Amino acid sequence: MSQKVSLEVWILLEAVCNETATRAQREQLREMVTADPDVRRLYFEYVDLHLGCAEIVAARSASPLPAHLRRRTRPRLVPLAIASACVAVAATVLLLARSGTERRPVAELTDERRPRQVTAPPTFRSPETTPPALTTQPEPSVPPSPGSAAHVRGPSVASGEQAVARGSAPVPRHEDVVAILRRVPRPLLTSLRIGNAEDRLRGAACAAEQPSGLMNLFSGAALGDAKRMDEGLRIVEATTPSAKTQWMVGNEGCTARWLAWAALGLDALEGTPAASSFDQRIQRIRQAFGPILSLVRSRSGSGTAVRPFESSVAFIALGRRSGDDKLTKAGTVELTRALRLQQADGTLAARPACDAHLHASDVVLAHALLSLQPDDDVEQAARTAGDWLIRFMQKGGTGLPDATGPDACEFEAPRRQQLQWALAMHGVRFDPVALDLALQVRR
Amino acid sequence: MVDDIGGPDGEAADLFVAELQRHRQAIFAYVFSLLPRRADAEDVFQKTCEALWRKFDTWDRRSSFRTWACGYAWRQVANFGRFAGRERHWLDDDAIAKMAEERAADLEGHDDRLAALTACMNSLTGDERGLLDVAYRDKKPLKDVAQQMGRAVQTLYNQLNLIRRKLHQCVRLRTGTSGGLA
Repeated sequence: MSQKVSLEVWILLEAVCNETATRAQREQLREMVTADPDVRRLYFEYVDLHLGCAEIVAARSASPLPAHLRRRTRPRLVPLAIASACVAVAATVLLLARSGTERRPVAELTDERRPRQVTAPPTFRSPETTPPALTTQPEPSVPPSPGSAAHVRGPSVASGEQAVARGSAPVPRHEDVVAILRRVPRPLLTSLRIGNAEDRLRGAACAAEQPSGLMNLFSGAALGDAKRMDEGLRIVEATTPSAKTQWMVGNEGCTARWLAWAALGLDALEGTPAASSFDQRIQRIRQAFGPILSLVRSRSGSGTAVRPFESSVAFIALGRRSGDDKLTKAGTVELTRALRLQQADGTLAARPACDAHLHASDVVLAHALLSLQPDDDVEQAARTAGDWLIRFMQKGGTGLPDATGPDACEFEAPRRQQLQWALAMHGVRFDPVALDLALQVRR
Repeated sequence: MVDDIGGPDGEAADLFVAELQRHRQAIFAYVFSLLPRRADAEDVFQKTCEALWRKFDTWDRRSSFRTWACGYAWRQVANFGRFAGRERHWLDDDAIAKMAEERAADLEGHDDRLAALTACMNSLTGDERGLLDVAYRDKKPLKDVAQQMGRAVQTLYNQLNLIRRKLHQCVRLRTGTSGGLA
């Protein structure tokens, strides 16, 4: 085989393994691989080289990036910090001046965070869905109009008590997520479910099935719907063994997802009146955490998780719940890495064009993590990640990306609902426009 | 329910974990070579692992775990092909059939190649190792890495290409591979 052919094959291999190959290049390589044993041999060697480089680099990647390659500290935080300081001073003056009267949320005082008006139908504020007042943020004395910012805003993570609680090991506040969800317009909340668990379990990829459990648990808790919670719990139960298996082989992507969603889901369940009827099942799932976590501990903290954001939420949630400092610390390591990996445009997932549902998962988890542990960097990451989703939706309109391109992916119903969830939570916390978009997601 | 899925218990479970850990990279390499799109390969790999877990009692312990596992992986790849579009499953059934058996045999040398690659990477210059780290560690698109480093993306592609070629030749030298394409 000539050097010229060798070079040609090499270029094709590079393109295929980098996932930049055109259809013609793939076709050309297929023909050559099929026809020539020497090309096949080179192909196998190249695949081993490509995967081997990734393995070896990942194994020793706990060290930070070299200084000249490191992403600059978020420059936007500097003006934001100055603005926040000004706002804090202004807010203090305002509060003192109004001594004892209603305290306004920080988010409402910053113009750049002021949510745009929502054009939600009046039915969104049916009497039975009026959200209970949150301990961290009093309801406005005047009932808000349907869809107004005050109506949809959840507890600000930067608000007084939580900010004070920071650093003093606050009790996990998973119930905040449920409280936030109670502020989602009821028709949307009702639609935020993964129907027919049996179907999900038969055909779902891990990307959709584990979040399905949490979505049903959370929304069931918010709606007081025990049947829906049961459905969510069944999904969590049924995905447990596969998660265990996946972790065993070191392919921790799905396991991280399962751990994160299951841990948060069970906590959401436990905070409800219906929890007692699920006691035994909750215990069984908690027992399943044991062997998985023992394997997790042998690998965690290295900063090499396949899905660092999900891993970080899982480790932090479970570590704090069980008082396991090592696990919590491992979660912090992964969280640092996850935030470092966030792209300038706000995307958290590696390939947003095709993995918008994974990005949406991360947005939901970011909001859940904020309820668990207030953190400025996570809040900023959640804001920009949610903004990306809004732009994505406004650009595409349906959550369905180019279905004919080389990176086409299917936004099957559960994945669209993940997107709805992310938009709803982002809308409640930061930007009500996202609620409108959540309603527009095609089913 | 949690306990209804099956799979090995006790000592058998330990053995399964040990075998899978030992051969994980090779099995994934097998899948990836038949399905060279990382996200798809990972999905199929996970499904393969689940199948292996459930069918572990059918493994003859006197035979190679890797070979047995590759048989299941092949089925999962073929199964994937029924549902995936042409763009994602561009190696047709004929090509896969031709490659699958050969690849399973080729994997006998996988561990040696990986060990050689580790040694070869240690012989790279600091700049070369740094570039590989950036390209592989965060799995970012190379154009983003180029932007981050303030360099042209094509330049990075070329440099990475040279490094990989250098590594490939080094691995071949260390493993005593000769003939064919280089």
